Amino acid sequence: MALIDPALALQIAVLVAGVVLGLAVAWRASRGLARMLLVVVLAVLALAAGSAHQARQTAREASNGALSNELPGRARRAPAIDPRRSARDDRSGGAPAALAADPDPLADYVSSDRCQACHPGNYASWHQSYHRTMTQRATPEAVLGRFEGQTLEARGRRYRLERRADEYWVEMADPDWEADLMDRGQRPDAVPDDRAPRRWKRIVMTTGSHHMQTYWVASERDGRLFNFPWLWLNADQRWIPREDGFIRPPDGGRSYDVWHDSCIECHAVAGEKDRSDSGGWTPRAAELGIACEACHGPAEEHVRVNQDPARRYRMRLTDAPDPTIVNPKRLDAKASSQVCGSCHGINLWKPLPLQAGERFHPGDDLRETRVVLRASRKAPATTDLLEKRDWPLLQNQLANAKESNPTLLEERFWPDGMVRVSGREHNGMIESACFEGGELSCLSCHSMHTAAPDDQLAADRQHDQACLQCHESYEANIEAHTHHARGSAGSRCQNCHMPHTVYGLLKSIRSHWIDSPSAATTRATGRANACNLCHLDKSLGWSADRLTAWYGQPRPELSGDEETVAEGVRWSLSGDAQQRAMMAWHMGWPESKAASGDEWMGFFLGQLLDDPYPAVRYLAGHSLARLSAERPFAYDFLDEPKERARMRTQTMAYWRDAAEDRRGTLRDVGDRRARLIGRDGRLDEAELERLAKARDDRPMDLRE
Amino acid sequence: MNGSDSELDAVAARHLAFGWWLVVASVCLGTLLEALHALKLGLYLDASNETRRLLWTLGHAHGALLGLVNVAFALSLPKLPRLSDGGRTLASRALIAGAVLLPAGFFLGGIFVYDGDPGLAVLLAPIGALLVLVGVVVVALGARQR
Repeated sequence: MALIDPALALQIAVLVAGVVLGLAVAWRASRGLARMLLVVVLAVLALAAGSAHQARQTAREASNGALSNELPGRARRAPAIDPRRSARDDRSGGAPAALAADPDPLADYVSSDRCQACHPGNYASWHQSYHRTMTQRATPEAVLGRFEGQTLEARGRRYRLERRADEYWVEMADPDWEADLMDRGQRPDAVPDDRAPRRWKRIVMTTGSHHMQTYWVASERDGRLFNFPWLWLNADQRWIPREDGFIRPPDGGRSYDVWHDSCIECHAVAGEKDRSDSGGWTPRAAELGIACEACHGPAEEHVRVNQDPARRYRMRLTDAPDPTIVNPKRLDAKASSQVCGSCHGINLWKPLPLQAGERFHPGDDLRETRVVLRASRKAPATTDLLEKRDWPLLQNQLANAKESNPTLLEERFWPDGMVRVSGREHNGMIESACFEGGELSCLSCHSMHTAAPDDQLAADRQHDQACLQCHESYEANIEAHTHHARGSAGSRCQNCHMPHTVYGLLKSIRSHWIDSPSAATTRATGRANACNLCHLDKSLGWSADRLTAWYGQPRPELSGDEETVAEGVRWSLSGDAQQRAMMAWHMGWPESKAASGDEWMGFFLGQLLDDPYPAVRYLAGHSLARLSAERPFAYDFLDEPKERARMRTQTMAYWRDAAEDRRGTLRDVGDRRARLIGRDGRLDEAELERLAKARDDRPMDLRE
Repeated sequence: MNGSDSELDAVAARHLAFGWWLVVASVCLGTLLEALHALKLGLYLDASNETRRLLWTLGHAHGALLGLVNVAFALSLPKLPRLSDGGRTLASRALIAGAVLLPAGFFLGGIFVYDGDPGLAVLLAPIGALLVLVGVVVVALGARQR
């Protein structure tokens, strides 16, 4: 091991050479100048030594004090949030006090602006991330939606949108009046629009920027922010009602969301809410969006002690951890993942710490303040002491929560406890064997500062590299393991072990519970396995045969449909809303289309154009639009039912020819049967109708 | 005027040559920096290298300016009535040493950077700055009218 960093040695050499050069030049000039220069050099060195000593003292005091965030498991002091103090300075340029990211009540926080001076690169990479733009003031730079002269109508409510210079306004039913009705247990959308009091409200804040964006207006009574219940879809450049952007029961009416109910906790730094003496709500945050201190913890102390340059150089040259700030990269796998998991997870607050005002800070053990929800079968057998201790508490809390919401778990987890909704990756990852082994963390694949903003996948962890950094033995003979050609979609680690079985943001997303495809699991959970998510034209029985032959999995006993009907057909006709959505998305996924052929898909996607769930229709419409570039496809998933039915009939008729096999060109009889093709090469209408009638129409409400 | 004319001429010639060559070096550095812009090289333009960009720009600017200061010193020498031989030698050496160390400190300090902090070689810059200060003060004192 080198005693000294070569770069540092080189720098010291350059410095010494420079000083010697200066002295030599001065000596040639006059001895007086040389003596003066020597005194200057010695004075500079003495000053540096003095401030280094002071920096050591400061660092020692800091590490002995409350800043214990480098020590996972130690409870940190309660956050320096005093919600009783009023917002002093409204920096929002006219936005209500609720939006004032006033640093005073959150004295430990300094905001990202202060971080930029010393960490310009990290600031820049964060600045281009979607974390930064998760919550923003409604400025022209932030607002993506089209407001100019728009009128929107949905579910009996009308909204008029206007842009006035740099401000965005909407005329809508008075949200304070709606909130009053909700408080009295009435549904506002039961009151006809023409009888609702209307107000022009200024859009004060935005949420989202990557896929979609929604907006908030302020209460006229307190600090509450009410949702303007529309989503702007970036890819489609259009507005849709907020309810239609999620898998929610189609007849569920409008959703009424208040920012501080839950959004504030994760879409801002140190978001908090408080009820004032007058009963009004006052949400507060150190900074809007997910900024530096959301992951690195409050940085006031860090900024203060590092104004000393000698301390900075000592820290940087020795690469020692700075006890005044949390660096998730330096935490162990569990603690660093909890930094992400505090937001990218389903966690229940522990009552006692919550009442005591204790909050999670990066570096803490998340489980000191929250119970990480686990619904898997192996969760009760956990060997983790903290989890064992919390198990009765979790059961108790779940029982209480289920009283008000009996489908709490079903809205978030597949029957085997795998997370089924987006944004909850931590709950999936912690069930993985790789995580249980103690090495896998979010940072094994993702990076906040060296990754493209889309998925934040580290540049050197794209595709298989992420897995091969630990499982390198597979690389040499990958085909023996995958039974697929090297480099093909079937040979990609993630496609088999992290299939797209999570739903959210109007798409399917990779599961972060790293597991292996299993026909038995599909049968038990209704979650399509990785084999069939590529081979949509093959049945579950087909996959079971291969999993048995290749990996020795016991072959489960399957039903007739599972043995014979292609999974893409079965789930799109008979599945529940999420299963149908998954099929609709996968029929547009290039890997599935390449593995399964795609012409036959048009017929079954056409069937989904009139699905009761808007999200399913949206995905089917998009996959169909990509199916044939030659055929113009004008379909709006929000059209009236009559028009949707017309489009469904027309589209299925168009694609019927492609789905059928009258020329007998398909590879084998099994293929034809799987896609409901009869002996005559025509679609088996009776089978089609039977499967469609078996559609699982239980209301589905996915809490992504 | 103190000292022999030939000695004065030698000092003036040395500063004239040094000054212009320092300007040449600084212009070359400036051209190099422009090339780094043209080629969009990350080692210079990436946001994480903002400190390097600042330091190299400072090195280029200080080098050019101090080159011209040395040229001005050379041209001023015949018109500095109160500058003694010792003062002239002191100012000469200080201006040359400072004009080397100050831009060199910025340039070398920008090779290794730590986020917002330059490398250790930047410590040459304040030493060079002090030498330049000594030089210009001595020249200014020498420029007083009798």
